[in-house]
Amino acid sequence: MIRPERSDVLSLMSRLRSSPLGERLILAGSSGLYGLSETLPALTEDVDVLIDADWVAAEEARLLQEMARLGFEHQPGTCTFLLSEGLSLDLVGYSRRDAVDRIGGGETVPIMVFSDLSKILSAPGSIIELPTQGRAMSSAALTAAKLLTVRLEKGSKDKLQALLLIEENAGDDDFSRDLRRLLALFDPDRVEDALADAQAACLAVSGDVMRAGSPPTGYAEMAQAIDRGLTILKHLTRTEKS
Amino acid sequence: MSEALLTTAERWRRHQRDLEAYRRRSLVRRSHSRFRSDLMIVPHVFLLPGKAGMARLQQPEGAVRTALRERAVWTLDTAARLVSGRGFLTSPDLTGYLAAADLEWAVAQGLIAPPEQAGLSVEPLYRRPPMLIAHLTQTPPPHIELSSGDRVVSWEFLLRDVMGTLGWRPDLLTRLEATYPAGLPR
Repeated sequence: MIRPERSDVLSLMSRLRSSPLGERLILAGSSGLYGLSETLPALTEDVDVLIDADWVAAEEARLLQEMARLGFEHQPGTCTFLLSEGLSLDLVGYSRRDAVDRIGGGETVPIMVFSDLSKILSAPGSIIELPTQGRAMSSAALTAAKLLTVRLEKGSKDKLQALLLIEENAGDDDFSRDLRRLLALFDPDRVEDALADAQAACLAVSGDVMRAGSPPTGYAEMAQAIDRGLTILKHLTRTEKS
Repeated sequence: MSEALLTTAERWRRHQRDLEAYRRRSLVRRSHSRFRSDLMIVPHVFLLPGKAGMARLQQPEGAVRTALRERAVWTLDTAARLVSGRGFLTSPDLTGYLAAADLEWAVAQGLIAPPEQAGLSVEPLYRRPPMLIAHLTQTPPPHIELSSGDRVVSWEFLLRDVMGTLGWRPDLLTRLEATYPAGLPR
């Protein structure tokens, strides 16, 4: 497996877009950052692509055929497809029929279906066309997904990427409005937990920065960007409550 | 199958495990009555490298504090001691915001030794002489002036400094809140 460069991912999405699967595959997860920012670190080796799990259940043979035509080899029992040069693509499921966590897709390509993603993708404006061709989650949609993602081992990474996205989009009223609208789709307790996770991730970075000593690199600057992102997020959620 | 290539069934089991652990974590947070109010605190890193430094006190703590009265804005343990008579750290340091020129002035006056970077911490794990721990800034944070003439960070900024320096400490924040004088603005 290789860690792809941003250009590799954008080129892949462009290639997928012009295939029969182009309408159905949406760049997401940490790799979604490749489509949204030239500076924020994706910190991932995989390319996560969203797909309607109900469509996969109905059209699994066609999916496998088209992915094979694109050069991908399916890994049995997984939602993973590999290119011969080592790039790994994971399918992640959403559904327009329901919003529950479950295993969906087909017998050969079982896919995890996430309720949060199903809610987010059902909202208007959550999917964009990349300037380089290919579909992707919008900045606000990816931020909401990252804030709400529950992963024990990688949870901080998700929150930090969300805060950096918020900071990078500071001043973009459309982004703020969309993020507030997406978070409002969720139970207030979920949003509170997301906020607490973001705060905890921010504290962890503060601790790292203090331990790192004199910073010749951009570490302290990144920590300050995360602080600014958290400040904006708190303002957004406070406005939401009032 | 490599560790990186989990089957979907394995991913599902991991997700369920994470959700279960997360529910417990959420309950622990919510067991603190101040969970919701503290969510609004944006941590401030008092010990930010490149901005913060410390210098050994060359005179008694009270004398240094008095000499810096019109120059420093005290925070953390020093602010807590000044407003409520009770601090929360064991090391008898002075912690505050200063302009770089004022730090140099304090060295020139013989109040403190030249600043050092090594071991910068408000909670040293070893016994050390009392220090002035200063966050250098030209723009002091929001503050209030006490009747003594000492200046301390505002209540809100004190919470930000505590969280940014010591993490989320609901026990400590509750104690600070309980001992903070009612007559001071919040």
